[in-house]
This record gives sequence, C-alpha cells and structure tokens, in this order.
Amino acid sequence: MTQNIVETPKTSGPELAQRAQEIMPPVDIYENDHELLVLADLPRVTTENLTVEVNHPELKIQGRVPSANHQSDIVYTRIFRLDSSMDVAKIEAKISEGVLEVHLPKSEPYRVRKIEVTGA
Amino acid sequence: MLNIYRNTNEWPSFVPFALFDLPAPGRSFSNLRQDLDRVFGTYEQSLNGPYAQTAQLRDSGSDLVVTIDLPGVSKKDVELTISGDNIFIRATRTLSPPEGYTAHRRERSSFKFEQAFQLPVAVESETAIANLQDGVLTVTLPKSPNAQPKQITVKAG
Repeated sequence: MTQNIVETPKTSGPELAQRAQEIMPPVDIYENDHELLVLADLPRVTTENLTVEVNHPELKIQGRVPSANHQSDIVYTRIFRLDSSMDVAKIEAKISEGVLEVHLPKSEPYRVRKIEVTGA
Repeated sequence: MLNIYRNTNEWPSFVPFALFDLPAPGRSFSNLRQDLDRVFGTYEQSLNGPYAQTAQLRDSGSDLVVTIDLPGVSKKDVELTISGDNIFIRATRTLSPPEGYTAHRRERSSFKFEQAFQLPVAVESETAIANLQDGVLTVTLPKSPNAQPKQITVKAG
C-alpha cells in the first residue's frame, strides 16, 4: 500500500457557481518501480478543456465538456495529494480515446533499486 | 449522484491507502457521514456508471444523431447494426492492469454495453456515418426523404 498519493476533498471554486454537472470520473492508480500511473475516464474531454495541474502537494485533474448554452456543461474533477517522493517537474499527461494518462515519475531517491550482492 | 466533499484539515497526517478510503483509527465520528457518502457514492457510480453510458438520441432536422460515451473503447470493439428503423449497438471494454504495475485503486471497470432501440423515423442506413472520437461514439443517420423536415407555406384564404 502506498501513501504517496491520497485523495483530497474538492473545495468549492468559482466553477461551482456556474450551472454545471459535477462528476467524479472513475480513476485507476497503478505503481511500478519508477512511477505512479493515474488513469481517468474523461469521455468528450478534449485537450483544450482539460487541465492537469500540480500545485504541490495537490494534483488536480479537471475536464470540462461544454454544452451549447453553457447551462448543462459537465465538469469532471479529481484531486489527489502527493507526497514528496514524486518528481513534479517530470509529470507527463496525455489523453486518447477519452482516457487520461498521468505519469508521475518518482524522484531518484525513491526509486526501487536492486543491489547486486557480491560474494567475498 | 452523490458529491463527496471533505475538509483537508480533517485528514490525519497519514491515511492508509485502503479500498474506499475507510476511516483511519482515531478519526472523529463526525466524518462518518462523509465516509458513508463516499463508500456508497462509489458504489452508486459502479452501478450506474458516472458518464452517459446510455445512448442519447438527438434530432438535428435532416439527421438523427445517436451518441454514447465509450471511453477507452477502440474501433474494433464496437459493433453497429442498422436494419430498417432499428439500431443495435454493442461495445466492449476489457481492462487489464498495465504490465509490471501493481494496482492501488481500480474504479474504472470493464464493461459490455448492448443497446437496441427503434428509431422514431426511417433512416438511410447506406449513408449513415459512425465516428469514434474522444471516447464518444457518434452515429449520424440521415432521415429518409419522406421523413425530412418540410416547410409548408400557409396561404391566406
């Protein structure tokens, strides 16, 4: 189990003042020796309407699906709190087929390393 | 859908990363309601799906437009059949953890979506267009000539 990424509450922002349907998109979180991988289902969200923001220690994913009159926009939001093991400068994100991938590389001291044991 | 709000300062310094984020020992009882909302909110989402996973039908005048959210579904996993004024959509999403990774949270699920319905007017299935983009399937079905909108001029008597 990991403590390097935990979910934090969504605080009321100006976007809540507008009429929009707030949706918590489903998220998968995976980890390997080098990185954390966050996957989120964001159908209809294009790169122009998507923000992936790291304001340490928060990782905020927000996508908007605009509607014709802006009265029934959909806003997808998830916020996670990162610990200091992530190399924030090297976070990468891409979206394809409506699925967002955020790669969060671990900073050097936190990577898993195998140490070869040599005999005498 | 339940919205889950939590106050940051209610978090203990370290929260075990458990399924549903159940309360850590020592958390105050006042969080219980939020925790329950959270658990059942997640459960509710797992039942209904958080996005529009039912086909939506729109009439654009000359066409009928069917849309459905299918994030992570590739073209080869979508089957679309139109016969007369009946339409049948089948889509499958099979998810497996990426190789070499361990899972900490898995809210996204595999699904098999099937929906058949009758269209309100006859369509020209030969000129129908289906497009899968940004995780959304859009099927544009031109109405048959008889079903096209017509403007009728009202003459004065």
